[in-house]
Amino acid sequence: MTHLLRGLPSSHHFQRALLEKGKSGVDQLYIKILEQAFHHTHVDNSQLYSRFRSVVGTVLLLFNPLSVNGLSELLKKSHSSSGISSIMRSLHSVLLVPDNKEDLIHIFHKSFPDFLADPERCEDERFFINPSVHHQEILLSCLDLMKKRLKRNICGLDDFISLGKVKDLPACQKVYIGDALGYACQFWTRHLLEIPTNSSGVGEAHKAIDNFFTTQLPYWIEVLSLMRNLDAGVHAINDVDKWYRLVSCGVTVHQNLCSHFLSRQGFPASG
Amino acid sequence: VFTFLVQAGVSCKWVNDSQHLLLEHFDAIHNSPSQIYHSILPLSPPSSWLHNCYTAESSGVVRVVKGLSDEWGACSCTVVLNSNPQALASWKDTLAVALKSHDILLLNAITGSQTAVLSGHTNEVKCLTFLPDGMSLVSGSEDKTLKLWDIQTGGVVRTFHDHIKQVFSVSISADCTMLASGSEEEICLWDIQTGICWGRLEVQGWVYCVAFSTTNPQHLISASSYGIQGWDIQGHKIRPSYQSHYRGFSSNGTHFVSCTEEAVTVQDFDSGAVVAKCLLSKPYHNFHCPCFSPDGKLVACAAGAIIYVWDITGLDPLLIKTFIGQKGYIDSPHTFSSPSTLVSASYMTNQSNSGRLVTLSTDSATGDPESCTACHISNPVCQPASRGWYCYL
Repeated sequence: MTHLLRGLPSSHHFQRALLEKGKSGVDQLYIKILEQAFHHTHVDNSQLYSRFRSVVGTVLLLFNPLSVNGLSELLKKSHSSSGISSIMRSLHSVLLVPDNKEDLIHIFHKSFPDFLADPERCEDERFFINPSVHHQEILLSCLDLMKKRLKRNICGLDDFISLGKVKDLPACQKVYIGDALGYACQFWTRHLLEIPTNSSGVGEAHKAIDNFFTTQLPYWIEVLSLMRNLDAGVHAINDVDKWYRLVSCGVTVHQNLCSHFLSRQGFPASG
Repeated sequence: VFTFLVQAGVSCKWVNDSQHLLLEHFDAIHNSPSQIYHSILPLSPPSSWLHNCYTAESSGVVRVVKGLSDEWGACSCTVVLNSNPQALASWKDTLAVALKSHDILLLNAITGSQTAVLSGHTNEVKCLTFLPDGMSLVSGSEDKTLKLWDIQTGGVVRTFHDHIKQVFSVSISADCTMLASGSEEEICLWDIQTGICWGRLEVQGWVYCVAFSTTNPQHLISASSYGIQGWDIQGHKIRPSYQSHYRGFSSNGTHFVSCTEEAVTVQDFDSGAVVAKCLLSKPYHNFHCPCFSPDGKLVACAAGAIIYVWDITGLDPLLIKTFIGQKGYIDSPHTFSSPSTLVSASYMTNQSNSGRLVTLSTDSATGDPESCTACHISNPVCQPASRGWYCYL
């Protein structure tokens, strides 16, 4: 708990926070920390709060932690590196943000993501993180990064070479693939499965995945093999299969309802 | 709504092609990703979406002259083993393979990747079976012992010592309290918790197979070179009892399947009544190694290097698949890792110490089941010469 206390201005505020009614102590503490971090920012600065939700949402929902540099690369499309750093700095009491930008960001306690993702506990809309929205954001960031970076023979290896004979494969991975692309390749389908099939973003995800399969599939498999994690590819395809089934089931139900409605209106239901 | 449905149809094709690409060529891609462009894309079925979408990516090193199949093969995964496979067992996605090297490999049945090696037996392991919860595995060996393994840790939980001769077969009672193991001229009954042998049944011949009934925990059945015999655990002989030439036997607890040279017969465990008799149009096939799918709807049996699969749910058994192309001898039993996935082991006689596993989908590409035209099993691309129908330029 000493980490948590570091972000607080004085013990006086802390005690008052704990004494307020209707909230558990830890929730009060997190609210206090967030308010303190943003006490210079006007409540109406919606752009800044949306940046906060996007960056913190990503950190909290990743299936494997990334470094500040990795996070910057993954979110490059929408966030500048300095913007991410300043948000991370403001939360140093709940997130372990190492000085070295290559080291991984960690969350001090699991109760923090639980608090932010629960609308009952985190009533302040400025900070509430809706997991399905942010999983979709991360998915699109992953697909976007793969679209930009994936290419044939990404590590520039000799043709036909067996990976067992490559001298320094970990170094190759680090230089040519990197944390962010490695994460995107291994985990994008995990985020896909977290998106509810009735959400408004399904169409956009569909389009991006279509593009992925028709333009990047072999390069993606190449990267998984280079990362010695081809198993992830097999599981990922199963995930995509599962998601497609869920989505098309939803649609089938919809279609049945339509035809039912049409026949009730006296129109023949067309096949 | 309708464009969406069409899209979903296209997407399934991508998923299907990608899965075949990954699984059929897993080893090749794992060893050398550039094989994707040199051999895997050129060798993919010409009518497939994958082949057409990525034509430009083929490196041109391999040019297919003739003989490319129009469909993906039935084989979804090939695992090359560095020792002869002796016994197989599966539980959901986990596959256990006993090797001639005395070790037991645990594999992921979907990807074929190795998850653990269980070492401890001092001679060849002849039989394997998972406990119903999938957390433990029992193995019986020529070293005259049985071992109970913890799948999570890979350690031996208990060793069962009282056999005088080698162990050929093992079965676990449905309530998980008893173990029956078959050896030369005897069956031992064990308490799983204590490891104590509390019963011995005298049998004629070598007991290649033993199985508990799942409906009556007091009953078991054994198959030896002298025939098939039912028992209660006090050692009394009960029906059924048959004199038959031993070719192969397997049981799922409610039914058992046995085979002779001509036929594969499915019978009810308790009454012995014949449920299905599977025959081919030509007699004398030398059937061996029959097995049930986990739902009991399919029966697979090998004959030489060919595997036949029958659907036994109807009045007459229906031959639904013929798999050819498995290299070497199919001598060790096969097993179903899911209701529609058959895992088959074979070993090579020309290379003294090797074998392989293939997983075959029973609901893959169609074709006349008895003509042996469809359902080729593909070889791993890393051994291109063995395929014989393409050449390097």
